[in-house]
Amino acid sequence: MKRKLIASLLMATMTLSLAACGKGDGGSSGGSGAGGGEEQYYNTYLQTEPSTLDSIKGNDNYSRGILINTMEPLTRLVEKDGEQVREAAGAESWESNEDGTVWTFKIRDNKWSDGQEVTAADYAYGITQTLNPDAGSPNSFFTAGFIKNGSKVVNGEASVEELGVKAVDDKTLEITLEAPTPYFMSLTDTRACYPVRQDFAEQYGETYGSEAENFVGNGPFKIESWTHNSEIKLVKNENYWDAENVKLDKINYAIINDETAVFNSFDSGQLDWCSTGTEEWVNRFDKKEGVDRIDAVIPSMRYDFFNVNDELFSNLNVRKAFVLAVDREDMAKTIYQDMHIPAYWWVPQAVSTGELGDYREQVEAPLEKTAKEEDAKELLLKGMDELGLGSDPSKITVKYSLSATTQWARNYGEYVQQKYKDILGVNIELDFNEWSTFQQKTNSGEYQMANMTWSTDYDDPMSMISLFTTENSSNIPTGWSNEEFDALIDQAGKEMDEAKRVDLYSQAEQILFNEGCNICPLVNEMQHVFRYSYVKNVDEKFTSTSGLKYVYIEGR
Amino acid sequence: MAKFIIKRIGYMLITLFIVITATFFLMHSIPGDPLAHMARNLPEQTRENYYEKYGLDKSTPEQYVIFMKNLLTKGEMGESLRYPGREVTDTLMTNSAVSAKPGGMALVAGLIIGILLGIVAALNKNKWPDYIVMFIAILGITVPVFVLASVLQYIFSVKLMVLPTTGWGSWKNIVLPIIVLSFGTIATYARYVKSNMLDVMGQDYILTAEAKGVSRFNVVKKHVLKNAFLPCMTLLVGQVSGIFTGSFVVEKIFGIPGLGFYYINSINDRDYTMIIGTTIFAAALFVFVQLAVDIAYSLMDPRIRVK
Repeated sequence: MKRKLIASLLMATMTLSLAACGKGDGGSSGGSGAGGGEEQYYNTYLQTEPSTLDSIKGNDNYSRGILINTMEPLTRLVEKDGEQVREAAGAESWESNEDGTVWTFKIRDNKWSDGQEVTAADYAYGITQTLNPDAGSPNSFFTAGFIKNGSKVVNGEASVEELGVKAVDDKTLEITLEAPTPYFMSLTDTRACYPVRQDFAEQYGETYGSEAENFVGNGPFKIESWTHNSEIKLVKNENYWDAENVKLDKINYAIINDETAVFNSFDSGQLDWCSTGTEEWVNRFDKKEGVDRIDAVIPSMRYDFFNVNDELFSNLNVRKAFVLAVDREDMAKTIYQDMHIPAYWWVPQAVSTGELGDYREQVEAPLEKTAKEEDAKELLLKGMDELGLGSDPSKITVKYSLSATTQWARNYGEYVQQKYKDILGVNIELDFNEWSTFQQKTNSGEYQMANMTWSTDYDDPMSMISLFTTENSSNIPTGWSNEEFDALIDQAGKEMDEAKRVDLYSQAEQILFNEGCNICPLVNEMQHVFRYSYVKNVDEKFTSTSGLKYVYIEGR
Repeated sequence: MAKFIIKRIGYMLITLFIVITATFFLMHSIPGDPLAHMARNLPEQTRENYYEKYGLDKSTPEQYVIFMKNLLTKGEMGESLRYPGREVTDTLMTNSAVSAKPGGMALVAGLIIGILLGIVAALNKNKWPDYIVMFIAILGITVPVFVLASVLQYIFSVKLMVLPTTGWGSWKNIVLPIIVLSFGTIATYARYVKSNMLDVMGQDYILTAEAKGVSRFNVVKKHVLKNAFLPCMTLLVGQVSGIFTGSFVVEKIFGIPGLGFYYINSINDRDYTMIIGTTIFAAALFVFVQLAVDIAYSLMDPRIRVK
């Protein structure tokens, strides 16, 4: 829980990639245009040292934050007038064949930070290596299921030459998919599709990406220095194709592990922004002058899940009772101090479906209605009756597994214990685990009910809803499986018409709650960012991948 | 003497061997793997490919043999699993040097101030200087470093804005960490020196010296201090090795890129090579410093010389 919490916070931090706080030693000359010639530097932070800048080997959000600014993905998701638009980036244009199985990208004229031309082969190499089993990349799951022969290559059943990725010529990249994938474009800015310079990566071998000198990028900024566990400095990449629209000259990343130190640094102006989920700090920064507060919903869910192979939770009515017994409003208020919002859905807010925009604005929350119509206690009694467990809920004891041992987890556990006692009359036994132990227990089915967080991997409802198909069931190991659900997801995965696809997702989500209830959504996460007002033009949406490309400073 | 040293080195090697072996098997027996920091379940195949790449698919004894072979023949501990491409030995060397800077300065400052305060307290027993010193000592021992560090950071960085909150490279970054790190040392030594001095001052030979008419200054200088300091050297073992291994909390709060970070995080991340590397480093340092102190002891105090 805590790891996921930190992970989510970081993810928020990184994706927006905006940090603030200046050490006052920023840029030298005036900016390139914006801000009336004042120094264009931005002071941001990372909560942990990035693992590596090798996009194939690294898998943490910290390195993602650096990569998004130093690499040029095929496309970027950019905010324009409050709307997210998929903008041509590394690819100048793209098209697909009629059935959406072959995608052709025209690679833009761009240069690597060392001056070499960017070619289609660089993108092809990055995508291929991520799936090459010899590279052992933890990111292969992003694309393995989509690119032709992807899974086979990862499993070692096909050679990398058979993969549906090829550089037709220097400027043309062709990707063949296993099946039509309507949301394929939303994978083009994930790290699994980043370019990698083969000659450079091979020259440095295992050490590629481990130091500033062992890395080459083709994005808006390049790495000037990297002092491990201390700071990373980026400067504008003059070789970048769109350099004239990049305003910042310098980005300073301070690596600060300690939360209080982050807040103190922001408070004293050494950082230009910070993200906090603590009421105390939110209240403090709310009073600070010259600071903007930005609250944004992030596509991340906190939830409980049930082991349907457990005797008690094998019963649908019992699961439903547990799902409906949660007073989400109260939980959001009492436990999360209104830092997150109550969730009556599985696909979180801030997930969009192509041009139709936010999915949750199109589809009503499946649990909202059920919560009003049905009574949790009655369902429990009905379920107990079906299981032959009598009619006394106080004889039932459920083990509730948590993935943290912190004080926060303990308070949370006690709250849950109290609430289930009050509403259903059942006893909850708390089981606190370190993350790895938790993972092992839940994966091997040695649990009844457990608590976790999940965030999307790419911007489409599919990223969340497909976690419950029989094929993907190891992700959240509830043991639930439903043919109708599988069929709907399968169909949605190929449906090129967006409105129809949304409808299929919505039907699947209904089934998940009507017939599954193996999952109990609790809150939809939000992030609370404080940023000095002199930082301009920051993309606020969590899913944006513009990085710091368009940010500038005015009136510091 | 030579025999004593050789024997001790032999013991040291045996100790290290046991520490390495025990740590190696223990760390592989805890659940989880280096992919755990992703906090999600990865597809089985992804995990298998990863294991294969880093040799984690082999059995623990096999991995142990490979590790020991590399360590003994090439002096290599391998690459960090959490930070691919970085040699563990490089990280140990670079980061311990960083830790040693504030750590070393804090130790020297702490020793000097602590000993002086201890002497003052002992010579003024039950008078106001004694009370003040003991008050400081109790504070130093009871106030957790993270509280002290946060308070100082708040005062000097946020309110007065004279020092940076975090960072590394300038002398300004190191001021607060030194104060925080030395506080505990001051407290420990002030108390220890005081009680040792009082102990020595109650001995018959001090009475004899005083009876002979030796001045108070000379009694303290020649007899009390020397005898009171000896036991303090025992404490030094942990402190000296501690300056290289760094303080997790202080380094975290002030953003010092030292070694402390790796001691805690390598375990959480299941960064096996780093866990074993940091353990070897700490263990070797400790036994080595202990040997040095023991030798120094026997040179200074004939009573405990080993035959």
